[in-house]
Formats: sequence, C-alpha cells, structure tokens
Amino acid sequence: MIAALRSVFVVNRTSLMGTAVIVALAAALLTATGSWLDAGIRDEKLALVVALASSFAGTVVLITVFIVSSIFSSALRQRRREFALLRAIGATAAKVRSTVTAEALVILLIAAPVGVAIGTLIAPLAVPLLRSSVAIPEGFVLPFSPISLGATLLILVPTSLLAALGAARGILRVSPTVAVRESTADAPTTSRARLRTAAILATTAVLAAATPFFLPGLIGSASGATSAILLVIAAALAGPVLVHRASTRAMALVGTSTGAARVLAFANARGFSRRLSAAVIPLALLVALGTVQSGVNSAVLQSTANELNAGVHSDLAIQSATGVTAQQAAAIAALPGVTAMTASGHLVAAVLIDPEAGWEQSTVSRITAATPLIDPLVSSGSLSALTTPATIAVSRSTLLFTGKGVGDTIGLRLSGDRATTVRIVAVYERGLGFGDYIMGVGTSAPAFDTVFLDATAASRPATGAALAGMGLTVTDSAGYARSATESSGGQQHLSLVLLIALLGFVAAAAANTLAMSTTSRRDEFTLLKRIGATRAQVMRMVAIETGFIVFTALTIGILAVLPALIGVGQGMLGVPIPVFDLPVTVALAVSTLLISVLTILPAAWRATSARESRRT
Amino acid sequence: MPQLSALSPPRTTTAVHLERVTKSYPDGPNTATALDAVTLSIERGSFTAIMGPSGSGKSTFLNCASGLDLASGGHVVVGGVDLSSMSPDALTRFRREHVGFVFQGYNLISHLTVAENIRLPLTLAGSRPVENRFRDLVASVGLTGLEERLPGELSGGQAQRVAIARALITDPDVVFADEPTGALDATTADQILGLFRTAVQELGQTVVIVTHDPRAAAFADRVLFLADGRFHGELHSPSVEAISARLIELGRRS
Repeated sequence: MIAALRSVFVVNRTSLMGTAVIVALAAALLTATGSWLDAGIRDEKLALVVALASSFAGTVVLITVFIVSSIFSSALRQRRREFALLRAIGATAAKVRSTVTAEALVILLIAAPVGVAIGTLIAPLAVPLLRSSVAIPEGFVLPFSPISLGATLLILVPTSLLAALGAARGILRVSPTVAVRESTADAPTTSRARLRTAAILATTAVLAAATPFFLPGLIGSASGATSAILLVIAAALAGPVLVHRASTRAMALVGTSTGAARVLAFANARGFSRRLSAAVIPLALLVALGTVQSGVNSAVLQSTANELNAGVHSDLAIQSATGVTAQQAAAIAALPGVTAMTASGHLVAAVLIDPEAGWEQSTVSRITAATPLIDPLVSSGSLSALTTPATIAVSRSTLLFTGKGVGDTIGLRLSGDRATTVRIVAVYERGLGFGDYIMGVGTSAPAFDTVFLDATAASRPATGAALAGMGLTVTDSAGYARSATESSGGQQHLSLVLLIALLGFVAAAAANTLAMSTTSRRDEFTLLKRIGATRAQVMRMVAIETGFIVFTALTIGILAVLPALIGVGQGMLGVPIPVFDLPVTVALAVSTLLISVLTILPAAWRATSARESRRT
Repeated sequence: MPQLSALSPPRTTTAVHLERVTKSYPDGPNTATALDAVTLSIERGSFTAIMGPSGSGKSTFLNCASGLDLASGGHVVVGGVDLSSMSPDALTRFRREHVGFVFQGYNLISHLTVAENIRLPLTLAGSRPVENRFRDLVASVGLTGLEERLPGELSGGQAQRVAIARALITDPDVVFADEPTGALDATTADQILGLFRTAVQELGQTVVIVTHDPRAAAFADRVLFLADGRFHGELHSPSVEAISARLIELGRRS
C-alpha cells in the first residue's frame, strides 16, 4: 500500500503538488482569519475586530471549501483513465475509495501543517492594517490560537475527503469498460441532482441579493458577496452543461470551414465541457468576488458622500490636523459675524443594545448644539433633546431587529468609565455619513474633529482670515463631505488588503487548474500533430480556447454579481442600478486574461514540443 | 551524394522512394542502428506489406518513410518530393496533404464526430471537402449513417474504418498503416484489409502496411521482409503459408 502510494505520488507529482499548494494556502487563510476571530472573542477590547473578521471569515470559509473541493475533484478527474484501468484489472470499489482517501490524507498531512504555520506567522502582520480602522491596544500581541487550528482542520479535512470520495463515486458509477472509453472525452450529461442543487443555490442567491429591497443600509448589503459566491457555485454545478451549450452554439456559428484552429477549439470545448468549466469557474469566482466587494465598497463610499452632502448645511467647516481644541472652539464662537456654530467630536465607547449580543465597541459622535448645523435626517424624536444628560441618538439601521426606539434605554460605557444607561431620544437615517451614535456634549470637551460654522455674508472674508490665522483649515460643506469620505480610507485600505489576499488565493487556484488541465492534454496534442496539425495550429487552437475561457469566466463572473450589485444599488443609493468600481473591474478582467494566457500558453508550448510528440 | 533528379521519378510510377535511409538512436555511449542503409521503391497503385519480427525496424521504417520522423541519413522521397531537408512544420503540412495514416490504436479524436474526424486533415489544411467525394468515401468504407457518432460509440472495426476514411480523404500519394488489424478479430480484420484492397484496386491508392500477421500480409501484392534494419527478400502475391515459412526462416537466421 505504501509503495503503491509512493509511486502514485511520483507519477502524479505535478497535479498533487498543485493540490497541496492550494490546500496549504487555504489552511493559511483559515488559520489567520481564525486567529483574529478567536482573539477578538476573547478580548472585549477587540470587539470591532470580531465584526470585521467574522464577515471576512464567512467569505473565506465559503471560498476555501469551494476551491479545495474543486481542486481535489479536478485532479482526480484527470486520472480517470488510471482508475478505470485499475478497476478493469480487478480493483474493487472499496480499494479505489481507500486509495483516494489515503492520497487525500497524505496531501493534508503534508500541506495543512505548512499552511497552518504560515497562517500563524502572517496573522500578526495584520496589526498595523487593522489599526487604521479599529482601535487595537498598544503592545498587543496576537496570541496563538489552538481553536483556529482545530477549526481549520475541521473545515479542510472533511472538505478534502468528501470531494475526493465524491470524485471516486463518479469514477465508480460507470462500468470500467465505459470508464476507459469515456475517460478520453467528457460525458456531457450532468446529473439531475446537480442541476437541481444549482437551481436551488441560484434562487437562494437571488433572494439574498434582494435583501436591500427590504432592509436598509449596510445590513441589507452585507449579503451581496454571499449572493455572488453562491451564484458562481451554482454556475460551477451547472457549468458543464452551460459550456457544452455555449460551445455547441459557437460551433454551429463557426461552421466547418473557417480555420482549423477555431473549429478544433470549439470542438474541444464541446467535448471537454467539464474540463473547461473546471478552468472557467475559479476565474469566474475571482471576477465575481473582486467585482462584488469593490462594488459594495464604492456604493458605501458614494452613499456616505451623498449623506454628507445632503446633511451638512453650514457655510464653513473648520478642521485641524491635531484637532480643534476647546479654546479654539470658544474663540471661533466669539468671532464677529458668526451666527451659528456646531462643534463635533468623537469617542470610542462600548454600547449594549441587546443584552444577549453583549457589549459592542463603537464610535460615538458628540455634538455641541441643540439645533446643529448638521442634519442626520431624524425620523423620530428630536436632536434638541440631546441637551438633557444621559441621552443619545441612534441610527435606524443600528436599532434594526432590536425592537428598541425612542424612549428605550441602552447601556453605554465611555472609555474608562463605568457602565451607564442612556435614553434614546432620536432615531436618524444618515448613519453612514454621521455614524451610528450621536450624543450631546458641552463646549468643555477637550477637542473636536470639526467645527461647523454659519457666518453673515459680509463677515466671511474676515472670518476666513481669522481662522487661517489660528492655524485652522477652512472648507465649505462640500469640501468637508469630500474629506470626510476620504478619511474612511483606512477601512477601505483594510478591506482592499483582505480582498487581495482572498483574490490571490483564488488566482493561485485558477492558475493551478489551468496549468494542470493543459499539461494533461499532451496525448491529444501529439495525436493532432500526427494527423497533420502544425505546432502553430495547435497553439492557435489553444489560444482560441483561452479566449473562450476568459470570455466565459468574465461573463459568468459579471452575471453572478449583477443581482447583488443591483440590490446594493437599491440599498445604498436608493436606485436599483448595479454599482461597479470600474477600475477594479477592469483590473480583474486584465488579471483574468493574464492568468489564463501566462499559465495555458507556456504549458501548451511545452506539451507540444517536438521531442514529446515523437515519443509514441 | 546521389543526384536528386534521379531520385524524383515522375508521379506516374513511384509513390515512395527510399535511398540508403539510415536511422540510428543514441543507446548509452553507442548508437543503435534501427534502419541500415535501406533502399526501396514503392510503385504507385500498389499494396505493399512490410513484415518482420519485433525489433526488426518495422515501426522505424514506417516513421521514416512517412515523414513522422526524420532519418539520420539518406533520402526519403514521397510523391516526388524529398522530405529530408524539410522543417518540422513544412513536413507536417506536406504529410497532411500527401500522406495518409492508419494507426493500430485507431487514433481518433474522441470528442469529434465520425464526420469531423474524417474531415480533420482537410480542416487542418484549411480546405473544404467536396461533399460528393465525402459521401462516396463514407459509403465505400461502410460508415453511412454513423457520421454523427462519437468514436466512443463505435466498434473497433468501425473505428478503424473511420481512420481509413480519414487517411483517404486527402487523396494522398500513399497511405501507411501500422498494424491496422492488430486489435481486431479475424472476420473484422479481413473486412478492413479488403477495404485497403479496394482502395488500391478501385481508387488507385498506394497502400503500405506494417504487420507481423501473415494473414494480413497475404492481402498485399508484394511482401517485404525486414530484419535487423535491413530488407531480406520479398514475395509477390504470396499465400499465407509461403509468408509463414519465410518468417520462420528469418527467425532462424537471427
């Protein structure tokens, strides 16, 4: 058994190596995410990290499970002929299953520890990144997390084994003789159960995408990524049928006379629909994931900017790099011609809305005036009540599903203070632009972020000069909206880095699948050359197939995110029009093209080398 | 250096001509000679069988004579064209128009239909088959009605008919077949060999088969015996018994 395993590993080292690399990367991603999640749950100060990590973790789990299982099944599919021969010479079904299981376990045994080690090493590197959007205590050291290690194995081991056994089931379902024959071309039939699952997933995905039509704000839009990933998985299940149909149709259009390479390429797509869809799907996932995340981000930014533009009415907005001190604020208020002033600052606090959900870390805005120059669009209650001590205004999306409203109380713990109870006096809509919590504050607060100012038209030049003299930056309300939107860049930066980590993983899986499937076509290339195809023709054929792969991947990727982004457009901006981050989407399309071209063409070039083709 | 003009007889008489063709492979520090200065002419419209024990150089002969592989020395002339100095791609292009192949393992592209497989050499050459010719060819190899099947849905005999039709579709100067009946039962093998006969007699094709089966060789006009990389005599329209006797004799020599 061990000798047999060893020879299997020698013969199939490239495909097994690819699988091992993907498993290791998956383990690294899972461990790193898990470590932060674990740390966040243990340490209340890191509560915001939990919110971030858990939404990221959901995506990571979904993606790693999908990629790892598809890499196992496509690696095994390429060895169908080997298994068919094994069965033909008398290997029992149990023997095939145990071989497949043993191989999967060996890969896990080698790859998972490496991945876990890498994940543990890279997780602390996220500290400076997280610090840009979440408060992390000075000198914080991310503890080693045995739980995340266990969770990683708990996800990877069953996924790998189930995928391997699933592929073995496909191998065993057909009789050995049929298997030997079929192993050269893919049967276009896809089981009904597969198609039904695809339909159910697609429906779920579209429903998930529609949540913003019923739930406002970020909460409703959080389901966007899930929806897109589910749709890509549905496409993966229905993929062989989709690819088969697309290529048959393309074949009919192309006819039989317009260039050998083109005819062959489409015939290949038709004949190897499963192999091709295995190549298309990881790329589609890459496109979908990147597009949906960047689209949601840009919708959030746009919505924040809209709320700020609509909600800031003051003539001037005054800021300073070091914060506006209380003395400066008092001096500003005393300037001649100033008719109204609102100073606003923020505090980090822990909030308890639902005792079952526990304390959550959040940012609380504090404003000075009872009739402020900013308008968070109060839907019930009144901001003027904030002058009463122990009161607070809360955004509507924060209170969603909590059953709380004006007149109810929530727990609040300002930094260092004991827990207090505050009464909700107003509920407002513009939570993205103005934060989730607003409290009143006296002018005695140590520092403010921004001072909003109304001044008579005649006095404005003098006021501006005086403010500049105090070393303060003066803008109008539109300028403030711009800078405030940009300052949420820390969060943007973090989500971009996380996205790139995920995309890197998906891209590695896609490249691996493409290289693997091209290398396995050596016999086909050799045969074509024997019949009279030149190397140039074979390469052209592969190039056209690559074009087909890229085009299909982009189409599926973009189609998969449409429902989600339409939902997000509705939820964030109030219009059901999909929001795309165009530069990111274009970058994704270019990467898809580069990944495909750079992996397929060199592999095909090697597989068609004259030396190889003569060895028959 | 022999005069090339002398090696390029007009199309009417000689289909394939080999002039002192040598093929050697590196074998550790030495070189192993698989073909040793073989000279041979194959007449147009003839059916030739090359026989010999395993390791006699049959496959090497076929590969060199057909342009699948380049000889180490000497000249191979097919249809009046010297293959020796061609680039690999030029050779491929020449092969697909002037040389047909039938391999032992059928070698059909499994995801192309029967019709697509047969048309493949023309597709690769970028030309379109004349529909009548295609239909006649399919009918003459007995595949009418099976055009849209995939190779996986064919019997061994049917698959080999597809391979023969594919070899004939370009109306090549010569068709080479490597153990074309090696995987078939006797009855089916006879049908396939009969098909080659018909191609020679009715279409005027030139066919060269390589085989170790005396029954198969007996279908040919001329049987050449190869051993240790050299030809050792030939028989014309021989019986199975005469071929077997000759093979036994050859076996005793080596």
